[in-house]
Amino acid sequence: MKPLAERLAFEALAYPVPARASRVDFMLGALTLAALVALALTGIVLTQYYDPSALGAHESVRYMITSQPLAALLRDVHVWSASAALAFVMAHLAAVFWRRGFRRPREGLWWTGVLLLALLFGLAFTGTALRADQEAVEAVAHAVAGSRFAGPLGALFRADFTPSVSLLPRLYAMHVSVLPLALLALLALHLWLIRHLGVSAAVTPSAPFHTHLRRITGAAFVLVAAVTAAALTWPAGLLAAGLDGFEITKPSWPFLWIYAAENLFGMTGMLLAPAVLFGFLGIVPFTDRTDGRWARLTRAAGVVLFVLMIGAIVYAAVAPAQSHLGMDMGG
Amino acid sequence: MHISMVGLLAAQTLLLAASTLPHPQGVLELRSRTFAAGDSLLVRGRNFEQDDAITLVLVGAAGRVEIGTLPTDSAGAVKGTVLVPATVRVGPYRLVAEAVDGDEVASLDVVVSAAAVAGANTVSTPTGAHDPAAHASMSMPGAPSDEPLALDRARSGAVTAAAILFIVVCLATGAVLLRRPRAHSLEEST
Repeated sequence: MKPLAERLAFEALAYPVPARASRVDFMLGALTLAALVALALTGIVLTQYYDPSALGAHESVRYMITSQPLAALLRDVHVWSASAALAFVMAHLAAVFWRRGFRRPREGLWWTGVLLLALLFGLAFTGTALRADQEAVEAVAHAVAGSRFAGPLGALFRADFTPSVSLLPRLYAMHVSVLPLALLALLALHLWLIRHLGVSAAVTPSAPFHTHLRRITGAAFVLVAAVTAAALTWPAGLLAAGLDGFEITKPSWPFLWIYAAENLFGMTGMLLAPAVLFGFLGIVPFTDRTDGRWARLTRAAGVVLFVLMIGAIVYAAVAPAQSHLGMDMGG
Repeated sequence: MHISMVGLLAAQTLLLAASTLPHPQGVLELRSRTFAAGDSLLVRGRNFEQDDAITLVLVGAAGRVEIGTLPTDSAGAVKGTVLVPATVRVGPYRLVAEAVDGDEVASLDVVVSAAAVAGANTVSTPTGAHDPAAHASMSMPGAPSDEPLALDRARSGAVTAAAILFIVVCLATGAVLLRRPRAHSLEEST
């Protein structure tokens, strides 16, 4: 073991970290990363079965479920890993916000984290669209309608953007190449900043990193086991092939807070809710620089936003489906 | 003078904002999403601007092909037949409905295919095999559903056993790694 450790420079992993880095609330980012690795590995296999053409997508997912036991299981693991990644990243964000982990000199760390969160939402949206079922068709219809409000930022959703390829293959390309590459680049920057700025600013480092690494690897294995068990027990469903012009489904849970805003304020709410959340997250390092009135206000606003978001998710989960684009409700 | 200039600018801004307000999101319906060049296409639609018109354009790798303009009624609905030019090349297209000002108000993925294939897509494949044409037939306007399909999931004892073994191995490895190691100071490790 020692010759291998020497040749692979394992001693570089002995750099100091705070002992509390092995606490669960400091492991949430690592658990998100573990879920992302599971997503990447299962996603690579799924690309061998999925047909991204507009007319073949739904049938290829159906084929996976009904004819390929391993692909069906890996798809279920993929879906559960996506939920785990989003749940852990939100918890990670809340924990870092509460610890004020965005204060100087850690602003870059915070902003790369916020951008990673946005990319994860992008991946979740494009992943949903790829199913080409009723929920997917409605999600894309909302994005297309919202893109008209978004000006040049919405160009991607217009047919003229790249006339040679229809929207679904473009979303597929975003899901398997553009967004993962951006995620990888940002993740590298995020980890590099953690390495150089430290896991936590508040406590003097007292333990070697490899003891922390050992524990987060252990937690990652337990997470993978849990996700696989969930996939075996509650496999992901598939709705019928999507029909345009209807609004009868609700989005999956990570998007329910946006759905709730849309219920209350229409299309404006759909665009405004993410803008408010990400706008707030973006300015936090400016408004909470030092202790004082602004710091207290920022913390209070963060708590209110978090509670509102959870409340909105619960409300949207129980509220009946609504039509936002003036489409048929199917009744 | 200054105030009137400001007022004028404000009015212009409002007019500009009003002129860029998006149109309602329309819905296009076709009997089939696969058709052949030279076919007559029955197009239905709703949710468009009332008492107006939409222009239908096929947008694809070969470029934009305008295939006709249909008037909308007082309810914002359209119904009419347009002719797909015989010169349109086979391939995937997006059928785009444009408002009179050129804004895209609805779109649909379609396929222009050779005549014989276009007719074949109306037959669904009951086997559930991977056949894009089957999806094309299912995509025709009908009753949508928010209920998961009752699919006969593919099962394999080997895959399930392997998954359970994988879970056990992951849990065991995780438990070993999560065990708190003996006190390990920084000095010891360096």
